[in-house]
Amino acid sequence: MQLTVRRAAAGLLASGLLVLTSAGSAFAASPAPSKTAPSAPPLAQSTACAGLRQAARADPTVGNLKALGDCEINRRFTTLDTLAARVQSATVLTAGARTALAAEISGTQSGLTALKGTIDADTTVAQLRIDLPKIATQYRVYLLVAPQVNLVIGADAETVAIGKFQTLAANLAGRIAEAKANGRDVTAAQADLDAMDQNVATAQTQVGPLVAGLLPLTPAQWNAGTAGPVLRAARSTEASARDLLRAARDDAAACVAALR
Amino acid sequence: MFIPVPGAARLVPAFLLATALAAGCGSRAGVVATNPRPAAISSAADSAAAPGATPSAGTAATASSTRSSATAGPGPARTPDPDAALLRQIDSALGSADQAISDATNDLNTKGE
Repeated sequence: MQLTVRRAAAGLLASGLLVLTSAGSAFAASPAPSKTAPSAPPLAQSTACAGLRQAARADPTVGNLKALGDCEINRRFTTLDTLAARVQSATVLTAGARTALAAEISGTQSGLTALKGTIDADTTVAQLRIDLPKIATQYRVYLLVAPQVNLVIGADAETVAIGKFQTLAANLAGRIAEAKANGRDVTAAQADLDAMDQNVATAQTQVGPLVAGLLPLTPAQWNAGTAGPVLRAARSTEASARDLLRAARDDAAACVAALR
Repeated sequence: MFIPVPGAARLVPAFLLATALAAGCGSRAGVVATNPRPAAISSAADSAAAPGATPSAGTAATASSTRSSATAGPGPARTPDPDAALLRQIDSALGSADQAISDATNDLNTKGE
């Protein structure tokens, strides 16, 4: 019995460092500056809790660890509020995607609120060693939810553009037919319209499956290593589709000019 | 036999003045009431918003709008170019996509939580 207690005490002492190691690896990481889009501010401002992290590392008391936990949870609340506002104001989102994203954000807020209550009630370093890493691993606000929201908005925005292109294609085809009936040479305009249609069709093929693949992703999948590749592939696909749609936009402008 | 009526005599100049004022203001009131400007402004905005549009397109539409404001009559209403409106909507959607992809890129460059 005495031996068991001694072992438990030794474990607690060791866990003081492990808490920080674990929490450190879960929370660590300043966002790397984006090379492709320097203007957009990153949501993960982990420097907000840097001082508390340092204090908890230097002196891993229950108080310091709780303070770090509260800070990490609070900055996630701020991020989730930003994401919720983004979802609410994104006019390009379908109703289904808006509902799904809002539910995911709301569920994450509820879960973090409950976890905050648990952490606030913790009385030992050992308990905090278990609970603090959950802030990151059970919710993945920065690594999963944030890119998920942005990528779904991006995919839906491209889908909206594709729909507009399809209406425009019908209009331009009508104008070309009318010009042709009036004896005009419409070769260039028709070539521009064909190029536009081709670019839009390819973009549509790329964008079509994205949202259905993004919405079901979970923190568990991220932890297992399966969600990250889906997110990165979706970003590449959206960028490719966006470039195709930009080209289609140029084709449309050229077609309109040729019809003048 | 003409019988002068002092009250009516005073009313005649007042009536003429009121008519003249109404005619003078009518040109502005007419523009506001029938308002051909939204079509012209919309067309100007559409043209200006299109990346391929030349500055002269927007300038011309604005100038046209100014001219119709300055003239007394409302003139024929201009129908917005449906293709220009569609191009503007496409630009708006692609702008949203650009922003979302940019934000997602920043998110995915984050190395940890």
